[in-house]
Amino acid sequence: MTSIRRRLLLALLGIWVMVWVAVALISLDRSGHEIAELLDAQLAQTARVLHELTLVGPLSVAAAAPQKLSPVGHPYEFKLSFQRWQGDRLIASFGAAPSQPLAPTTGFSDQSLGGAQWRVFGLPGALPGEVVFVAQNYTIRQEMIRFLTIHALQPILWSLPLTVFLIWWAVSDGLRPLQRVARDIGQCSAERLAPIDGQSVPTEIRPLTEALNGLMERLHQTLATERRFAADASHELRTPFTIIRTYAQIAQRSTAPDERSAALEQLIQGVDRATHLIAQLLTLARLQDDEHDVHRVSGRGFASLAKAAARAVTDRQIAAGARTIGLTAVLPDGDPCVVPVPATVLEVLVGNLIENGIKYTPPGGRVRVAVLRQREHLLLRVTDSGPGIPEGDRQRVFDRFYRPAGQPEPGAGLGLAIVRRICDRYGIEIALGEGEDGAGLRVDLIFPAAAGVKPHAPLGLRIS
Amino acid sequence: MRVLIVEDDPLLGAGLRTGLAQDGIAADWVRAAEPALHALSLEHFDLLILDLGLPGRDGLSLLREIRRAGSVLPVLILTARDATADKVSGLDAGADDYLVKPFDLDELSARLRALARRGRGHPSPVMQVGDLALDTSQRAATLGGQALSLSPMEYTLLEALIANPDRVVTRARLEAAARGWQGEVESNSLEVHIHHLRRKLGRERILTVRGVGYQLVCIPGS
Repeated sequence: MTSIRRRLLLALLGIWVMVWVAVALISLDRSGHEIAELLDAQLAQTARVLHELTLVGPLSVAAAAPQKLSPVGHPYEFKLSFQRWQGDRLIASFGAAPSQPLAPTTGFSDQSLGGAQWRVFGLPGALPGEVVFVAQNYTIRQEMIRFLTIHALQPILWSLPLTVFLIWWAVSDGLRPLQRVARDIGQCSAERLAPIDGQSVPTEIRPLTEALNGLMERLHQTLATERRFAADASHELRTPFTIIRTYAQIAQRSTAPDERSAALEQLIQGVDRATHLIAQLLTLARLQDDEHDVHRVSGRGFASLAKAAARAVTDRQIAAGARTIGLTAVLPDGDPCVVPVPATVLEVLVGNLIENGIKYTPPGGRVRVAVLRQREHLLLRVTDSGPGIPEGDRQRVFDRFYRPAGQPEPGAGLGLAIVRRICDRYGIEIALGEGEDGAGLRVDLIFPAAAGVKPHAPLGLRIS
Repeated sequence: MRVLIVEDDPLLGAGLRTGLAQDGIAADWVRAAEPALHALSLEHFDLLILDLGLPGRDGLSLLREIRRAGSVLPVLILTARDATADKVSGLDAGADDYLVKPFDLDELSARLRALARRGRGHPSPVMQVGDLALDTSQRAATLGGQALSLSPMEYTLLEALIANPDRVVTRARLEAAARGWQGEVESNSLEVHIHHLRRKLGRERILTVRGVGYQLVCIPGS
């Protein structure tokens, strides 16, 4: 696991050390150069002074004396040598100077004399062939440079632990909002999905908290859907379960065989009702899940509307026959009528509309299913000869569990809610109207053109 | 005892009727608020079983209207709504009892009997007139300590009579109590059942009030 704190600490420390080393090296180079210039100037000046002095009188006594540390001088004083040459003749010398010339040429030069490095300055005298040499041991320069180096680097080295501590503290302080966000997230649970306070966090973390809050919002919605589903399911299942329990008890208490078998017959109907209701509720819940999950792939697909309508009609012939309702389909010949809706969803859609028609049409009536092409759109039309839906109720019939007044048929009011959810999801338009001859109900589903939808377009994005 | 059931689900409504009949409770059944009001205005009922989630007009609204009209009819709410808030608003709207689906038929019958007793101002399950006693919880009658063998119809008629001691019970009301059993009661079949009852109880115990109805007479035990 990588630690941001350790990475930042190492990076900052590395940069800090590199910068300081570079600064120290540059400043040392500069100060070394300046020292050299200064000492060279001093050397030249010394040469001139000594030359002037030697013109006044000989310096043989002084030259013969070994150079000593003067008690009133300075440590850098020593290691200075002097020679005055007249042609090949050494006229005067001073310090640890050898008997041969200190340098072969006049001007500044570096010479190795007696195992030591010397800086030599040769000054041509006023007379022809006269040269004055002054030499300084390099150790002075090196000592000065070493001294400067140590004194420049020492405070930096001393401050290193303090710097480490300060960087550590600054990094920790900078990461504190992250810890707070982590604590906030840690306190979240399925019951408590409070959004994280995004105002007090640094701008760098804000995208993270915003993304997390978005996730929480989606989670919250999903959970709310789940809870609503559970509550709805448990509420709606009470009626079929009451039917089952009541008839089971009737059968249990009954002594007459006829009454008992009739009760068991009703009990089975109750079980069928419960099964159907569970299937409807699950369909609805799955559609709701899809709505929240816009990138879901399984919700996409193309299918033949004609085929789905034909199958839905065939599957419900028995149910229609049981109520003596004529169920017919008018489908285009040879045209599959492909719509951008998966086959399974399409069957639920058409099936619910047909079941709705069968349920509310009195015996002897009829339910007609038609697939039509209207310009570039495909249209599914289901008409019945039932009581129809008054204009004022037409919007509300799509609400979950809504059942209009005076409705003789049992039901949970989920069929049309499922239809609308599917339509919302797949961009299908619904239009309700009156059936043939102004009686009954006509439901038109206007499908989006299949060609206009790319197979890879995420259909879920249509949901607003 | 005659009960009106307001329940929109056809399968459940029919089941309730059958189940209550097994317990000797005659029930009429309607599927919405308006037919219920109609039935209540036309006939006498001892109890009302009310579902709340009716299509169209809600059960609570029906209950409030009944109470506004001054009716003291005992009402039992029978519903899938199990939240405490629903129970509170149901009872506060004027219901006497509240039972959540799914329920036990035995419990429903017992609660209905209890409500009926309280409705009569007689909380004991045993009703007594002289040496004639009727145990409504057992659906059994005794005369001078001796058990009487009664048909369901005879029991229903005796229950209606004993609930109103020393008062005339109208023919219409007795017919209404009996209707739950046979659909339509033929004009002379009431007389037939009263005749059977008299044979088992003693002729002098049931008076005929000509043109009005019948009355149970208190004869102290010897």
